[in-house]
Amino acid sequence: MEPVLGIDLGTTNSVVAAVEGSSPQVIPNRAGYKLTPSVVAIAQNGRQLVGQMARRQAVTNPKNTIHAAKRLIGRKFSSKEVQRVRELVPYDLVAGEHDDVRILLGDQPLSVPEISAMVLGELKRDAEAHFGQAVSKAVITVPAYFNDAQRQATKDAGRIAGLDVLRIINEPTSAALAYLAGRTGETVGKLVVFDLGGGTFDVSILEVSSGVYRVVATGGDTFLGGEDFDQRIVEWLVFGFAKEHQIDLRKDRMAMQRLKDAAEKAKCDLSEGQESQINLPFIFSPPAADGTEASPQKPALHLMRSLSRAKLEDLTRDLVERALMITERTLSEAGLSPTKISDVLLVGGQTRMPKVQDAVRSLFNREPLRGAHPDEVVALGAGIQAQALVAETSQMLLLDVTPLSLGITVAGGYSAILIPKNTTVPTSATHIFTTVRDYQTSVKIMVLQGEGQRAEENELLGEFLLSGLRSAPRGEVDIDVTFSISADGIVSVQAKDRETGTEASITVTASSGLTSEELQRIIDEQRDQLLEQRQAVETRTKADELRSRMSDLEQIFPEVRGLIDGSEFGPDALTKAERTLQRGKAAAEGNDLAGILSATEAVESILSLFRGIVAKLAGSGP
Amino acid sequence: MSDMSGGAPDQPIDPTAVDLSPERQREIEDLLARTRSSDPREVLGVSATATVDEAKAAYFALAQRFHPDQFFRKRLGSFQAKVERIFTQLTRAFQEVLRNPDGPPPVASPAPAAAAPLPAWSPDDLPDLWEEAAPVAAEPQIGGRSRERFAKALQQQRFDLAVEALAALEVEEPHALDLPKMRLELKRRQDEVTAMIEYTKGTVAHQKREWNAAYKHFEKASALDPRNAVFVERAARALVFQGDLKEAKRLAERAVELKPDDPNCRTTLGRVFQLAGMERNAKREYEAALKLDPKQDFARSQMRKLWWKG
Repeated sequence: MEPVLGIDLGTTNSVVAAVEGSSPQVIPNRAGYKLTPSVVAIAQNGRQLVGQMARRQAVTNPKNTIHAAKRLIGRKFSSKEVQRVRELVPYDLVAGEHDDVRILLGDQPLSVPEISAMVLGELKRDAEAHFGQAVSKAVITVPAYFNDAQRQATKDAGRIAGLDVLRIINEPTSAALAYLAGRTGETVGKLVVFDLGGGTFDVSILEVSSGVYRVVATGGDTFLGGEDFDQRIVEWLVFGFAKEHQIDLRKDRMAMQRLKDAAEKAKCDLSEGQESQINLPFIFSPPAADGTEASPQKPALHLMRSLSRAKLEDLTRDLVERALMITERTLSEAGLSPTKISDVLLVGGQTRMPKVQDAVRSLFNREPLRGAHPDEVVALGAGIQAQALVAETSQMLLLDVTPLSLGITVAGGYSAILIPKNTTVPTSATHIFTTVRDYQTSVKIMVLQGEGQRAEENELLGEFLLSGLRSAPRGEVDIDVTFSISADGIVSVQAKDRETGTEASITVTASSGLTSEELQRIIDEQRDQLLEQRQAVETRTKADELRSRMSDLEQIFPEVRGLIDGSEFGPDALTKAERTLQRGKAAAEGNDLAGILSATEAVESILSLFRGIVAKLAGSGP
Repeated sequence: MSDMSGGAPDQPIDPTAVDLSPERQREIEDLLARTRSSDPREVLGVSATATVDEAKAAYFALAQRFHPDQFFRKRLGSFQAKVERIFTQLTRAFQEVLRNPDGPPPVASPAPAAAAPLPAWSPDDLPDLWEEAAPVAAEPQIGGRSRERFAKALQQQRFDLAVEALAALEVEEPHALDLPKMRLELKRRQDEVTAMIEYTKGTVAHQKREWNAAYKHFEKASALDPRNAVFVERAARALVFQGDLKEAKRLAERAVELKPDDPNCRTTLGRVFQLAGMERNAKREYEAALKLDPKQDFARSQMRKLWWKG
């Protein structure tokens, strides 16, 4: 049976796992590493790089190296999150047609799902190399607090990468699954998963009993993670450097990339040690002296600073506090106090920071659990879920919840919630609404996601019009609005006039910024591109074959010329052979596979003819 | 927008082609029928006295067999909607048990699952009065109508409908400032009606001379509507017949306190004093009662008795 993958598509790193035999295993990439950096680049020579290769050349090629695309996925270009990222990243962002984000990669504006698809495609190929067979089915994880648009965009990325996305599941749930797998039958009390990853923070409260994993409540912040901790260090370094030398390093993309790498390394060092040295020689090089500089020539400058653990904790204090606040709020939403929690599981690279562990320990007044590999559990859980879905019968069942409330805009610009957050999915809810104006014959249903009281504070998932209502004074027409979330997490909304039975509905799906036509086009293009690539490879091989045949022919040519030059059919045959060679040379230079093949055929027939002549004449000769 | 969920493989929908054994189909139909019940414990298949833990175990066991994931990418035809409905109903029932662990609330309210617990009120929730009026949207707006439904239901004393309308209003206008007031009003009106029912039952028991039962009904009525002196007075009277003078005195005094100008309350208090041998106090109360209502025959006859005695 074809292996099914579990993929943790992370902000900084991605991991792929699958159930092999009876236990889930992380699948190493072709370089032998378990973690693949979620980095995509176009190298100077035009080659597309993914993973470690892309990451390694980031410093020298910052503009065309895309990292942390997950922070952009499914977001609107005009959102404040995207505008913030835009200031921080060395690559360029432009607005797409539907206020979606496009990333300039090698001057080509690509949608975020396309960038993520490159990472997913790499993981897919790694898995194929590992298993020695094609794999196409996968469960992909997302932060629990991702909204519908972000989930859809992630799904689109999978489709572009040629994956059949079985399910999108939540990262903390997935981690819990992996952590508790194999402990079936055992009733675990309430478990809190505290997941502070590269870009996002999630907290989920689960209740686990005999193979059923029921999420009680979930909360989080899709803009709080390790990258923010790094950024604090970068800012501290930039600020210090500016104070000392009056030079703003932020203008230099390459310097910023080096700072970012150094900050991340220092942060990791400080999880073990108390002090870390940051050493960046030649961080500032004076502009080339071309005489046009008005300012006096500055010498090359180096950055050398030492960062203590205490200072790092000071720089990031509010980030840790924010995570704790969200945790407390989520607990209270679930009607639980920290003492009612039987275990706390730490997930995500950033939970390696001692300060984070201390904070969690003191909130719950217990030692938090940590798996041996906090970076891998999410992918392992996804692998387990993928296997459970395709298995004929499974003892394992995930009951997850909607992280955000769903509702519609009602008169006055308020949001009327039909499905509150933390509702177990699949689910549905119906509510009666009415008209607000006399003789109004249509209503607009605007589907919202979020907790904002005002409609505009929420994500607009989609909108549609229900028309053909009975013309009546306001308040007299009953309109049933039904929301459903399928097991697959797909939101659909239906509105129906009770009296006339007129109805209208939408399935909210294509909200990733890509319309379904665009998505199809990209998928087709990908397929065409693959075909083209395959064809190019074939053409090159065939052209090489042609060249080698021609060189065989050229080698034998003088001998044949000597043998038959005087004979009656000699001149004719020789001219023909020369012409064939010329045609072959032209074909070998071109890209026309058919031309190459026919030229090869012609060369081969002459070659066999000549070989025959040589064998005959040279053998029977003197 | 179109569906590109990729959830189910594309295939012509043939409701007759279903990857389910006939037994499984029957199981699903049976469970679906059961989930139509309005009693959450019945939906979950547990006894009426089942604890939350028992309900949870039943919910988990049923979910494990009937969750849509257990039919992942199977051809279900018409059963697709059925299994989704079953799971939604099971979840709703379980949530209901979690909300009311001790059984159904006093008034059977088919509260929609959408009724979220209301956030605590804070000054931040106050609408900004200086905010410009929302511009009239060009779009045809949709609105709720639960406010009218609530008022009408209250007026007709259809509390089931009022509960429903209020739950709906919480969805439509979660930030309406008068929601707590409306909730209190509903409870008050509900209690009033329940108190009247108890009062009637008490009166019936009293006529049958079942003093203890009568006392209990009046006591309940009084607990639901503590400002009503009549209930307290009747409870006191039932106690007098039962012979519990100490408690009767406390209640009768309370009744008088609540409604000093009610002759019945005065008479009852007078009777308590009289039986307790506090004749001077008894006379005073009877006099007060007669002053308020000269037709208080019992007070008059007892006054006469006391007078003769004295």
